[in-house]
Amino acid sequence: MRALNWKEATGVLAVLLVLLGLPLVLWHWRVAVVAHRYSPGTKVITMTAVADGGIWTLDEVVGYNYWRKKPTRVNEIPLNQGDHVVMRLRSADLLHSFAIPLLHLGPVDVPAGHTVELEFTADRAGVLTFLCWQVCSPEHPNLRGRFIVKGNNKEESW
Amino acid sequence: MSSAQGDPVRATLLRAIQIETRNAGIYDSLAHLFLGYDDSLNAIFREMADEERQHGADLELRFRERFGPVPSSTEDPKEVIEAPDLEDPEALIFDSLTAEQALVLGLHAEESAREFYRQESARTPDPGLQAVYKELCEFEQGHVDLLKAKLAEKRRAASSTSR
Amino acid sequence: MATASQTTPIDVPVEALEKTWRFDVFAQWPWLKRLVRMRSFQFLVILPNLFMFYLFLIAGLFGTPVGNRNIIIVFVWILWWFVLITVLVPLGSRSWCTVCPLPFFGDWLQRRAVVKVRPGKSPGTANSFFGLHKRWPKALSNIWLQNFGFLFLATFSALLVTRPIVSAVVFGVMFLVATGLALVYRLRTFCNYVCPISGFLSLYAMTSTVELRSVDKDVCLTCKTKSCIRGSEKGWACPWNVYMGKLDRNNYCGLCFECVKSCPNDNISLFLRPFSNSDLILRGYDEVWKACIMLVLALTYSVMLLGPWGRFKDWANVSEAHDWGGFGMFAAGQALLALVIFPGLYYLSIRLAKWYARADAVPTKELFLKYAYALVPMGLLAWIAFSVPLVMVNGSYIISVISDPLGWGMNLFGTAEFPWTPFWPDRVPLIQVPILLAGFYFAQRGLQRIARQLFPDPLQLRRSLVPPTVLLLGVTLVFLKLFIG
Repeated sequence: MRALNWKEATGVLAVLLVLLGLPLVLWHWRVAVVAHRYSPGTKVITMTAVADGGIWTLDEVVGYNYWRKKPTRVNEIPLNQGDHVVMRLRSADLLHSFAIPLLHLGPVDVPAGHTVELEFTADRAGVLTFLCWQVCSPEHPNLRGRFIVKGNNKEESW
Repeated sequence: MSSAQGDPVRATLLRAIQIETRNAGIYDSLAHLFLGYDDSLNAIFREMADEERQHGADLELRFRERFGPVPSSTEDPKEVIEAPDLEDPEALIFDSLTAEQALVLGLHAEESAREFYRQESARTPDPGLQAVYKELCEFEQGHVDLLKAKLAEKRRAASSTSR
Repeated sequence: MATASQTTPIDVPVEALEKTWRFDVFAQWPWLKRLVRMRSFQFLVILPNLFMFYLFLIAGLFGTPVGNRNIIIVFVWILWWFVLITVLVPLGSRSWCTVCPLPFFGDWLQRRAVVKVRPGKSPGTANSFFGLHKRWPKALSNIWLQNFGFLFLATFSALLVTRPIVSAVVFGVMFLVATGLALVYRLRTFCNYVCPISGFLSLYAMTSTVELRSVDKDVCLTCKTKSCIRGSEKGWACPWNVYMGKLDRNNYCGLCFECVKSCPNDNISLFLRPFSNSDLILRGYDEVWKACIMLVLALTYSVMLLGPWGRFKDWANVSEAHDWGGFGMFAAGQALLALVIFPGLYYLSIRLAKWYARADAVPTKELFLKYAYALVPMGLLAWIAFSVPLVMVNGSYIISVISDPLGWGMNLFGTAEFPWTPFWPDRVPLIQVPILLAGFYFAQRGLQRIARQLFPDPLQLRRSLVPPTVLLLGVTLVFLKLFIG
């Protein structure tokens, strides 16, 4: 009887471990593991391309919201001069691509469901346009935005 | 009273008592199986369990008259005669056992027992044993008649409600 | 009189067909029996699946919406489906039900235990159950709900098997329904009458090479406790409401092994047996229609998911193509084919069989029910033939998704960027054709065994087989045309 009670308690504990542990592990990965991959001070920007509407968005585009609502388009992303930026680029549906022509960065393919990383340093103030380089959908021309780099030295700017 | 433990008549009567007791237990299980699930089937099996118990009590009386107290035994008889059973293993899944079928189930068990005793009475050379088998056969016939009457009553009730 | 909407148990006796070879697994490997008799056995085999199921739900809701990068789509509709239909069912009967996590919380709430047994007197059982313990309505005590449920899901399969959120919602709803029903109705009502997966598992388990049966039926005959179905202090009442003493087919045994634990006579064992050789009886129209529905769906799935006709794919893929008229035609056409046309063709073949064989003595209903077995191995092997290219062409997604199950950019095992690599795509028809022909063979063999019971006259026997054989041949040719052109 005592052995069974121990087994019962262990079983319940195991189930609770699964129910609570799995979300915790996933949360930990997102918050701690990802953040600690990059050197301190790095600005990590996760951006997703959505073909419907031709939107780059900073919203999390996942299963429960992809079909339900249109994500918020990001037109401008503020940066400071000297920021080291890591772009974590995702596609929610099709094969997109990403480029910052002024920096000669990209184009890099952003396949559907994949996360592609791109790094750059905003060493000058000014406006950096980013866009999708691949004709992905009828809304492709809308897949663009700007980094607004706020400078400390007006002579060094784009 | 005969006290010979090896007396075949005594052994046969004892076996018959054990069979009735066993079958009462089986009917009790079947009754409980349908408790809260199908009250009419529960009632039928309970009634059959009571009949078997009564049957066993009658046989015990005869045993006591001839041989004295009935020895208690925890052994289950191995014979499968007169053992009622659900014919359909999926009866509770599909709610497919009717009251009529439950009565037929009991009737088959009683008829097989009657047939068994009838054959044994024709086969055995021992006149004492033959008499016992004949008596048991009559017992079972009574039981068969009872179940047939219940079945006929059920069928009459069913045909009258369907008109 | 039973209506057409009710299961109609056939009045003809379930004949014991000639004994076939079987191998007592528990007698040969007693350690296996000791394993399944452990109280914690079921919990231990369900727990990993519970974890996976939970992960799938999280992935479906919070993972990438891209199907081939989300574990719920790749693992469920490529890996699990393939393993289920190709391995688990033919070789393990309803062994998926042994490990299925869907009824886990319902069982837990009913039993108020994950491992131990509670002896007691809940209605009809020798155990103590929590809940209302109601009896499922008699009118629904059949598999019609499962038939329509599966057909409904199949209508939306283009969404179900490609959109993570749809799969997550469907499984989530099934899980909640299973748990809710367990609190209201007795035992595993969800599994017996509602679960769409259970529906086709019940049918195809008939062909399986394993069976759980009583060793000596005479022992069951004289058993006073009937603990297999009522339960005891050693085991729960059969969650499937099956009486082992007379069990003669796999359809509704979920291989939970509670009866092995509770049997006071140690009279239950696991047996190996030949494929598609033993359970040859369909018992009601609901099962016949299930066989028809599954065979038709194997065809429509093949057309929709593997075929070259973009128009049909668009009709099915209504959420992107937005062709509601086309979707309506697809849905109505599929339902008509599965519920009316194909069963009608089968019925016609039976009527022709009766006429050609001059078999007036055999009731049409009996022939209709008995010969329907042929659709079971035919359907199973058609589904296997459909599933093979799924895994051969898309199986490489499994490798990438195990490293990044939610499409968040993880790389747990270094394989997140493993490219899509179809495996021998040009050889797929070489594998599909023998499988389809095997389906035809086993269907024919089943028909002949059943016919031998019905028709002692060899000429009548042969004539009665002609029309159903022509139908089965037609079905096989349609599949062959679809798969190899």
